[in-house]
Amino acid sequence: MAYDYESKLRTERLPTQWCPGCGDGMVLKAIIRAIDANGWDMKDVCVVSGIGCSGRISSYINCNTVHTTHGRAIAYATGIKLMHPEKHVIVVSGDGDGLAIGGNHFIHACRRNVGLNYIIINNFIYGLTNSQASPTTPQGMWAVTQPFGNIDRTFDSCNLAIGAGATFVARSTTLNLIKLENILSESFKHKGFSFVEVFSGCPVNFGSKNGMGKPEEMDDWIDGIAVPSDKFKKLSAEEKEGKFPIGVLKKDPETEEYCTTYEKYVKRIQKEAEKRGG
Amino acid sequence: MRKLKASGNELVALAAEDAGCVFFGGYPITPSSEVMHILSARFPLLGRKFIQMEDEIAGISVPLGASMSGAKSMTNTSGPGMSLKSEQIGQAHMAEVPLVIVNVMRGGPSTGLPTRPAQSDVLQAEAPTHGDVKTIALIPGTTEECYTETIRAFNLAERFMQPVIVLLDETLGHMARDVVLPDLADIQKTIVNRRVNMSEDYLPYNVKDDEPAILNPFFTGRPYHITGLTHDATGFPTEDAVLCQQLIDRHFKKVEAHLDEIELYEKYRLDDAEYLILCYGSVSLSARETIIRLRNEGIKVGMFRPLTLWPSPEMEMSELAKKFDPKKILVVEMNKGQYLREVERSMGNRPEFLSKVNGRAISPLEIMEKLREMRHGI
Amino acid sequence: MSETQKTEQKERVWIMKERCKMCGKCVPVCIEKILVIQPDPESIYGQTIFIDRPDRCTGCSDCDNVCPDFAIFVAKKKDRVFPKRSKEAQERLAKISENKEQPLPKKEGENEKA
Repeated sequence: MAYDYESKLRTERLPTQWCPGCGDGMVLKAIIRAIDANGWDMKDVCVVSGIGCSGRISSYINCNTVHTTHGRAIAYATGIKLMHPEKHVIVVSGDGDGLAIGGNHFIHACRRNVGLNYIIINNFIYGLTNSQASPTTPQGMWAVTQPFGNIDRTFDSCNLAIGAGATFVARSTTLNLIKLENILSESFKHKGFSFVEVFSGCPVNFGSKNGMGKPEEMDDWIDGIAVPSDKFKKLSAEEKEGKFPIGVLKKDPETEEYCTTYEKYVKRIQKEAEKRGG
Repeated sequence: MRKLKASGNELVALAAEDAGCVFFGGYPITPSSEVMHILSARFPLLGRKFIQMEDEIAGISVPLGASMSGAKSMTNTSGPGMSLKSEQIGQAHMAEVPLVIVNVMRGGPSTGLPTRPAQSDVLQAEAPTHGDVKTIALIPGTTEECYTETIRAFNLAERFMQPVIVLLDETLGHMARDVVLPDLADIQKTIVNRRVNMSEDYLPYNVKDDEPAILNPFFTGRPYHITGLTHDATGFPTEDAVLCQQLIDRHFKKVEAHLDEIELYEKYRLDDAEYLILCYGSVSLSARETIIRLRNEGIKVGMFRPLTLWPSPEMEMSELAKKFDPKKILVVEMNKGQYLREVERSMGNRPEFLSKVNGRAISPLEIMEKLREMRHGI
Repeated sequence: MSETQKTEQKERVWIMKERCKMCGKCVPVCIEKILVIQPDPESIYGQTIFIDRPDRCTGCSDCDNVCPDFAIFVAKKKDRVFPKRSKEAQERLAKISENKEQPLPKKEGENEKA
């Protein structure tokens, strides 16, 4: 069914600056649909992005948007959310932005459980700066800074998030908009910090030098490494090599969201101070 | 009048509270941590927000985020932390986000002398980030001024929509004294709050060429975009040659055209002075003592002390150059001459210089000795 | 009146050419095969997507859902009458569903290879 994105876009900014076949546009679409699915008013939404291709998402969506510095989107967003706990703050980063330069903020955001909706668009490369290896570039694959095949090991950001104590962790791909929308929509419903990694195709800066120059070839490759989590569990350790489970990987609605905890803390110490004063 | 016993760091915290700061984010670093210690107890009690972040970069990013969304915010740090924060200071200048950054200076470079005083970040305060920025940096010289200058920093930040740096040093930060502060009601009358524009045709950066941007609080009025990229009146990135030039020109002009609102300095016993001591910050405590003692001996010494370090009071300094023989001007700093260059530039000559970088405060005796040397031409 | 609104009044499916970057993702997903790449000397990409036989658009919106650039528009089903799926398309779908490993409809040739 045709969906009307126009009212939630800054149409005067279009066409987007992304390359042909880039998955970032799909994520933008899914974010808009998920916002709608949750019945959020655009006036109550703030989208914060970092630097990189993904950073441009904030300029196309029509709400309060912030394009921050490289890797620091979460830290800026934390400030916005703490001041406006009742509003919805969505943070969009790339793999280099969120896992390399911003890795520290990522793990501590998971730990703190501030109610941000964090999306990492993983295109396996530094796309904007022309194909340097990122923490998620698969081993053996070409990158400008790994011209003989990447020798660095790959990050599994979802495992990292789970290890750091995130209360909602999911992975999806840009292959199917509706599935991505559903995952994002579910993550937006989560009260605490939610993390969604989205595998996204970069046919121009990643694919073309790795034999996947066409968007559909890129998608086929992603399809090969992204395995539904129930199927993934049944795979042997060998088969799991180089593959990643998709779907909701962790959901813990029990752990209290940071702003709620802070509010309670404020009330408690105010009461104690009152008692001491009286 | 409020009488209390407090250190500079404690007064910075009190000033933040009185100026209506509602958000503090930071990362602990000696010798500035006391500001954080106090606010961690006070802010939650007042229902305001306090958060200790995971590193210095997050320590400035989080109050910047809060400030963008409309909250009066601050952070504090010290030399190495200031270096780590520098990229975000650039973002704050570009996006015109107000923020008070208190830098309690210590000896450097690197870890240097973490527990000892220095005035080693004076040049850094002039150019705290990459790119062309016109910074405002204030430097209190007495414990009371740690309070009043912090209040002023908040007002300037909100007025000019940019970060304002307050430079303390370890001496002022940690030295507790009896202080007399203005009444809270009097302070509250001076508080400057951010301008808002709720009109239909609101554009955040659509302002006159010498005025700061108007950033409405988030989630009110017309939504807009904030970016660290060079942008046009709408806030969206542009690479238009004319607009790029205009933007950076405006960042400079908004400060340069309103120097009368920013500049502050003290002239101490200059009217009949034969010798001039030019200093700032905690060094002025020793200089004042020197002047009293030397005047008792019949030597007429006065002091010129900028409270707004950057932009420097260059007009005033060039006036002083006309009155004083350069051989009778003494610049005293706890660094290797970071402000001396600015003095030389403004005065057009080369004054005498006394410096110390061993992590010890400059004593009145040392300044007296130097002045005697100058006097007898040794 | 914007181009979007203008075309909206008469078409079932239409493309906003100034947004399209010719990534071609929409072409293989159209089960009716009505989206065709054709040479266009006026376009900066040298080609454009041509809507061949728009009367056969079933309004499934698959093309809209794979377009990363907000360039394809499909009319809402309540606003327009859409035909049922053609016989050829049904046959194609059957072939695709046999191939369970492929989640997305592919070009016929590719599916046979896989």
